[in-house]
Amino acid sequence: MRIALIGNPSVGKSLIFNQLTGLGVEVSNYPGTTVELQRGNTCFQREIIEIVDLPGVYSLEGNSEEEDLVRRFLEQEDVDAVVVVASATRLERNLYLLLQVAEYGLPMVVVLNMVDEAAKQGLDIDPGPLHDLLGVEVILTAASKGLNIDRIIPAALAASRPAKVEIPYDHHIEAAIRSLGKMFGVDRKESLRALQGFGENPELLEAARTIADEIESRHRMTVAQIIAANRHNFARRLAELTVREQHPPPGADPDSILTRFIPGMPILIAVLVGMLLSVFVVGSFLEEMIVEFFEVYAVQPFLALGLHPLLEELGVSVLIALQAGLGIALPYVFLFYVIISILEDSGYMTRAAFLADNVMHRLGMHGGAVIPLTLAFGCNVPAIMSIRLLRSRRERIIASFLVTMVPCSARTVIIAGIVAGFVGLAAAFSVYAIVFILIILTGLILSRVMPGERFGMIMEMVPLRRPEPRLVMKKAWSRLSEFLFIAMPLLLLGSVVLGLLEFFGIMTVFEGIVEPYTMGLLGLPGYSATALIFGILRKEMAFETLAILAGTADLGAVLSSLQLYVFAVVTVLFVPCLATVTVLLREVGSRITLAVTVYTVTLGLLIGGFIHHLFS
Amino acid sequence: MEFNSADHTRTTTLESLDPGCRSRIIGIRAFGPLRKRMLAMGMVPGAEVEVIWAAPLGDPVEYRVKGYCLSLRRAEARLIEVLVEVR
Ligand SMILES: Nc1nc2c(ncn2[C@@H]2O[C@H](COP(=O)(O)OP(=O)(O)O)[C@@H](O)[C@H]2O)c(=O)[nH]1
Ligand SMILES: [Mg+2]
Repeated sequence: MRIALIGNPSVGKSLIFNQLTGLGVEVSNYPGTTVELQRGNTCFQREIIEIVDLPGVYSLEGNSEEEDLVRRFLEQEDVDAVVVVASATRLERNLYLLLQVAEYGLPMVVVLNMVDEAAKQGLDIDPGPLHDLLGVEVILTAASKGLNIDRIIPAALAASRPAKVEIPYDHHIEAAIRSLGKMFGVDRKESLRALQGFGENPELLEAARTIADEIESRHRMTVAQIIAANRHNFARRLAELTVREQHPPPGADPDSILTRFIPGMPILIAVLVGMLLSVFVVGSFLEEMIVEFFEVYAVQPFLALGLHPLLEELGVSVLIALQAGLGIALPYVFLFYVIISILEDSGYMTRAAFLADNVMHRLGMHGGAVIPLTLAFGCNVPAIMSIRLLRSRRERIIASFLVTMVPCSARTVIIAGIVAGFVGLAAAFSVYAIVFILIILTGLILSRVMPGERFGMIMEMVPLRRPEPRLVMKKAWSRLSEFLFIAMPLLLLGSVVLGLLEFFGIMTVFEGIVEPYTMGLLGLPGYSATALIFGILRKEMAFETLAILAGTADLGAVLSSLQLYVFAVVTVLFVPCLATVTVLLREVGSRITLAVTVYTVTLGLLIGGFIHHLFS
Repeated sequence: MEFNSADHTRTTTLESLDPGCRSRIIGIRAFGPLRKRMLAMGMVPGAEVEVIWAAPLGDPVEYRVKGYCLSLRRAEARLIEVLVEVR
């Protein structure tokens, strides 16, 4: 038995999914996409029922990854019943998708969620007309209060009939459906899809195309537009039957505060700066504590055991990876996910995207990119994880390049420790200036050359609501565990490989080989290359390793100001840290991760070399 | 822009309307994925649209359609033909 939850974005599908399945959520990547399907099991009357949470879509006929996935899912997997989740507060628009799903002819249950919010807005919801017209069960729920959630599974199990709806289309479309049906023996749904260019049979598509062209020339409107308009009209009639407005919604509109220049912009800046400050202060405080704790209670006792050198190297590599992973994961990832979940659940995220879109658009992205880019100043890891908020793959790829270039707090340590400490404050700021200019140039170039679909900035402004602490913590926790279970193993592996390279003296050989190049290109001694490589593990380690290899913490005594400056610039631009690479792999795939890595290494070496040759 | 004096309406594009203005969509001139997205979000011929206001830097603009709010960039709103009443 398999049940699928389908609906518009932010109608409460995931919340219902979590309540139906309890814990034990399994995340799986659907082949060929980065969009996720969540699958979970529940037991009802000793039968195991699989529940699938499909990504939110507005239609089944679009070209986005999500729509593709949902369409393929409905066509290819055997689903016993679909549960269409709709928001009672935006019923008219939600019914458009519902009608499309109904035309698919699968057994169906309708869930009208958020009735609590609808009641607050003075909307009176009557499930009767929908039930009569569609001939399926209609359940009113408030998922955040758990209201009527227990009725969903029994209704889905009992659902055996598809909805019986027939949308009245324009008479030209109806005539086309009839003649395609006669010619090819296809049903209504298939004829409609063929008229819009979907389907497998080339002859059917050819015939449908001819008819569609004729209708288009007569109506001066495409078939897709006519069909969409007919469906929306029908949806409006259904919505009018279902929703009664009892009293007009309250007057004061918080959006007039949040999306106006004053005070909208100051609020946005305050939110972004607040986000950063909390990571700099709370995050780095916690990180230091965890790192210190590990050092004292794990690394040193382990070293005191005096094991065989190879075992010791392996053990230390594992410990360092754990230290880096937990040091980043616990404070930064968790903290940021708490913040992101609050921004998402409150609905502020869409307001931030609305305000920042103008600037982000110039860099080739959606306004929503303001969040990952700001987060990146704290730590690139959660920033990369949050590029999922962007709707198209094109924007996610651009964002992944830009985010990895943003100087995170660890890179700030390098800039502060090496440049500000030994060269000067102005020089430290100039490093930031160089990086910002490169980010803007990269964005401008990528936005021009990147292929891929553009969906523009068509964004639903979701209603503002008070986030529930319990739900926020749950969401943050599930994202944290995702990082721990998926990124940590890769981090461990990388660390062990680096440790072994070091142990077998491959690093020393490597230093000998690269010395002529680092000297020639960057004017840096061979051991700085080792420091750069260790910087991949954790950015600050480039600093620590350099000091160890140079034999003194007073770097100014052994390296010139120019050398230190060049080293810092290269480290800051150089490959993102291993933790970032592991999340990149997960979010954008190996090809893009490789591209980002090659690009940042090249950029670091080029800019470093340029500075070296300019000033020496 | 066309002015029709017989029924006091004129046709124009959505992007040229001021905040507070109401209009009825008569056609979508976008193509491909963009048009599909617009149609799915309720920007269809016959739908009533109200302009709410523009973001601080002039772009994007927030609209109300089908009982909810959505934002569109001006370049996208320019592709939507509307009919407005002239007082
Ligand atoms: N007031 C209220 N909020 C809800 C209800 N159901 C979901 N939400 C909130 O709506 C937001 C979106 O829910 P989510 O499950 O992520 O929606 P999805 O995008 O459809 O998966 C979250 O902030 C939920 O807490 C409900 O019945 N009433
Ligand atoms: Mg969801």
